[in-house]
This record gives sequence, C-alpha cells and structure tokens, in this order.
Amino acid sequence: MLENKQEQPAVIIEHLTKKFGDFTAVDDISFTVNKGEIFGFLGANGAGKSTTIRMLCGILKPTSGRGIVGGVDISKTPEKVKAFIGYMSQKFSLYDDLTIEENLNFFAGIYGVRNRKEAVKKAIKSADLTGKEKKITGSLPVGWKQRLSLASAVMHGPSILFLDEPTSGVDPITRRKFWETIRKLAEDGTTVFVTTHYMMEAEYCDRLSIMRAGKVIAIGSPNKLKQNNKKDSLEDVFVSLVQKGVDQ
Amino acid sequence: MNRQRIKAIAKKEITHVIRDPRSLGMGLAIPVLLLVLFGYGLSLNVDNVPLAVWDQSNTVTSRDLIRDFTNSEAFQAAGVCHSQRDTEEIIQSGQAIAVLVIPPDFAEKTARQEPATVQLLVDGSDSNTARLSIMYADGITKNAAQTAAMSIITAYNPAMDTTWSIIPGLIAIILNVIAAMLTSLCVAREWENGTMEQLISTPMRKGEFLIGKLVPYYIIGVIDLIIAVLMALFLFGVPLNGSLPALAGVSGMFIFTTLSVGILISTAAQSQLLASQLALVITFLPGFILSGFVYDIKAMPAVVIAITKLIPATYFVSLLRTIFLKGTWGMAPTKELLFLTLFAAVILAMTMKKLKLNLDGR
Repeated sequence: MLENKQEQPAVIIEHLTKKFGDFTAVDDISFTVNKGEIFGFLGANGAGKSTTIRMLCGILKPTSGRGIVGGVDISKTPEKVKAFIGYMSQKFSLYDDLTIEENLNFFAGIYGVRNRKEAVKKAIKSADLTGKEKKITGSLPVGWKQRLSLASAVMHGPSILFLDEPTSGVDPITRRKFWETIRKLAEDGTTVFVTTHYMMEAEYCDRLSIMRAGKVIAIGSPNKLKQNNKKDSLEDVFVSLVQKGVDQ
Repeated sequence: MNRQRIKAIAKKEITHVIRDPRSLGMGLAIPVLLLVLFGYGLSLNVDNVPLAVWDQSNTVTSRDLIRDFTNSEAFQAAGVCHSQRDTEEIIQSGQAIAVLVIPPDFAEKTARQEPATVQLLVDGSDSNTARLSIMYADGITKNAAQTAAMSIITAYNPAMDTTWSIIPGLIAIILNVIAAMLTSLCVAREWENGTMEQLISTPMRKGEFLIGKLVPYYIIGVIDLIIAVLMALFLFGVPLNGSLPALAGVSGMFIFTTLSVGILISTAAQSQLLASQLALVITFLPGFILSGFVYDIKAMPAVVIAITKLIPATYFVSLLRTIFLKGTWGMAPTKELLFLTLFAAVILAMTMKKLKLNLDGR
C-alpha cells in the first residue's frame, strides 16, 4: 500500500514560485504529496500557504516552476485540474442569499453530480444540517457555514481536497467532527491538503510542511519534526522555526 | 458546453433576483414607472394653456371664436394684446404660452365663405405643450369656421416632434438602460462577495458562465418589453401599424445586444457600484442624446452623425418608430439587424477575452 502511494504522488511541486509585482509570495518550493495522505500546511499569516493552494487549484497562475496535480500540469491546463479537486477557500464563498439546499443544488449542478437529490441529501446529513435545508445561508453561524462549505466541496467526490483554514472560527466540537470527516475521506483514498493555525490539528496530519516568507523551511511527519528540532510539542517546533526567520 | 451547468447558473441567478427586492424592482417596476412618468410628462398633460388674444376684428364672429377657445379645456384666457409688441412681451414674460391673433377682415371673410386666416403665436421652448396647443387650436378654429385656416408661428423652437413618436422612442431608451443595468451587477457581484473564488475552482467554462448569466436577464428584458408594448398600445393608445413579429424580432435582438454591454461592463469593472454607474452613463447618455430620440440626427454635425451610427439605441429608436407608426420595416431593416448582431458579437468576444477564471489581476 505504502509503495503504491509513493509510486504516483497526488501532488508534485518543483521550484514553484509566485510573484505579485516585486513581492514574492511563494519562493521556489518543492515537495510531493502522496495519494490518500493528509498533508498539513503550517505557517504564519502571509507565509504563502493560501497562494500555494490557489495555484494548485488552478485559480492562480504560477510565475515559474512546475506543479502537477493528479497528473495534470497546473500551468498548462488549469481547467483540467478543476474537474477532480475540491476547494474550500479561507473566506466563506458560498451564496449568502441562497438557502443551504439551493447552494448545494447549485454546486451539484456545476459539477454534474449524478443522483443530485440523493447527493444533496447526503451532504446535508454529513454536515449535520438536516431539517435546516431551507435556512438562508447568510443567517447561519460560522460553524454551520464551514460545515456547509466542506460538504459542498466534497459532494462531487474529488480525489484531491484543498482546505484553506477550514476550522477557523469553529467551536471545538465541530472541529473534532471536521477532522473525523477528513480522516474518513483520507481512508477512502482522498488526498487532503489542509492549512491550519491549530497545533492540535497539525498532530492529526500524516505529514506537515512549515512555510515562512514564501519558503518551505521544514517538512516531515509531526513526530519527525519534533525529533529533528528536539522539541516536545509542535507548537515549540513552529515557534522556534518561525522565530529563527524573524531573528535573521 | 454543458447544458446542466448553464441551467444551474441560470437558476441560481433567478433566485438572486427573486430574493433581492431591489433588483426585482429595478427590473420590472422602474421600466413601468419611467414609461408612465415620461409618457405622460412628455405627451398628454395639456390643459388650461394660458392663451392671450389680439382681436383685430372685434366682431361677434371673432368673439365667438375666442369664447370657443377659452371654453375648451385646453386653453384659458390669460390676457389681451393690442399690438405686435404686446404679443411678444406676453409670451416672453411667460404670462401666456400662446397668442391668438385674429385679423381685421376675419368676420367679413367668414361671412362671405372666403378662406380666412387666424394666427397662433406659440412659445416653442416647451415643444410638447406647443405641439399639443397647435393641434387643439387648429381643431377649435376649423370647428368654428369651416373656411378658416390657421397660420402658426412658433417662437424659440421651430423644430418639433410628432405626437406618437415619443412612446416608441421611449420604449427603446428605457429598454436600453434597464437591460444594461440588469446585467451590470451580475459578474461584479460575484467578485465583490468572494463567491467567484469558489466558482472558478469548479470545472465551469466561460461560455457556460456567460450564457447562464444572460438567460435570466433576457427573460426579464422580454417581460419588460411586453409590458412596455402593452402600455403603449392600451394606455397611451399608440397604434401598432407594423407587424408584431417584426417588433419582436428587432426588440429581441436589441435586448440581447444591450445585456451584452452590461455584462462586459460588469466583467471589466471591479465593483458593483462602478459597474452600475458605468452602465447608466454608457447606455443612458448616448441613448438619450444621440439616438435621435430627443434631437434630430439629421441636424447634427457630420462627425456626430458618424458617432450616432455606432450606438445600438439609434437603430432601435428608428426601427421602433418605423414599426409602430409607419407600419413598414424602414428602408433596409436587415442592415440594422445585422449591425445589432455584429455589435453583440463584438461585445461578447471582448467579454470572453476580459473574463478570467482565475485570480490573477485581481
């Protein structure tokens, strides 16, 4: 199983760079993510996590370097990537004036989901929103919105899922449920790419990468990162690595 | 092109419109309101026009004629003149809008069944009131004396429109603005609300996006057209001398053209506010001033005439007038339809080029 995973990585990144004018948001990063892996992305705000995810989703063009997602080159044919990925952006971006059900129906239609009624029903159930289908999305609490976003992002059964801070502003119980869902998806073979600020969540990841000022400064499993840096907790690892950058 | 995807987008867009009373109001109520306001404001409300009289005849016959004028609902007595200067001064002061001048030989000529001429001096600065006053005055004079003719002198604004040309032109102007306003928000809104980021992460294509966006507003545009035409026929009594299919065909194409302009503006502008203001300025000003609705194109300088030929509303105003009033398609209707089609094609090509399904440049 492990061998098979490493044969065909879900994501291959080589010297990927993104510049906005003079500012280099992502600076020559390279790594691979295996199939079915939960890959965590840590870093201070503005370190380049969201920019990397956006490039991998095909909605931001790399300035240079190469990114292969599910065997597709993100620079050459970004529209092909979009067919088999799911994306949950950092900012809530479903329609506030539609109901829960209408939002899901819409994205099911866009993705051409089969048995749409069933799929939408299942998504509502998985987000724990049964009985609230007709509620207008804009009036929902943050936690419900995030649950709806996640349900919407996985409804079409993507093979690679990109989650940009999916649990920010979410209560601990919902957060735990989120991670149960993520783990279940990974067990079923979905590759999950997730950014977070919570070290507790980072512990759940198979592997982590830590970004600072557009560069990947550490990569490995949570345990390996702790060993390499001789720290007891991920938080200490994170703070010491990011602090180094500030001292330099 | 995935039809299911287009359907999903169109359905979502309709839901947005239904949920938002403002856009529904803009789409359906404002056209009706504009048509009523401008329709009545520009064409029908002429009563009690202040009329001064210079009675040079001073006979029973002439006084009868004056009584006919002042007893009518259209006019009310507003003074007596005794000289040419009087008539000019009374109009200049605004005390009277029209002056009826009855020549000394009026009674004699009418008695002898000879053609007699009375003169109506009209303040043409309000061309609409002037035009209607003349119509009424003409009718009253002919009623009073079969042989009498009216000679009309219009002060300030000699060129005047004909009555019914206003409503068909007005329909064109209103559809022009409303259609562009409708679509002007629909792309900018997605960017402004951040929903575009989710949309562009899906396999949706540009063409599907644009068609899905256009369809709902096209339906609204057609409903507006139907309401406007019904109002023209039954509320304002404008005759429809041309064929209904001709009207539907030309209007259908025009609505599409203007919706395209709106969607290009919405794609190019970064915010909804900017987009709606641009849509208003770009469609309303040229449509109102240069389309021939208010000012006669023939009277414009050559350069300006050339510009009017690039404005879709110009073709629509003239085509609607032709279809409603003349009952023909005009000299070469295919040419106009071809222009509208070509215009829409160019605009949509520009929109496709401008529309980016990624975050670069944002």
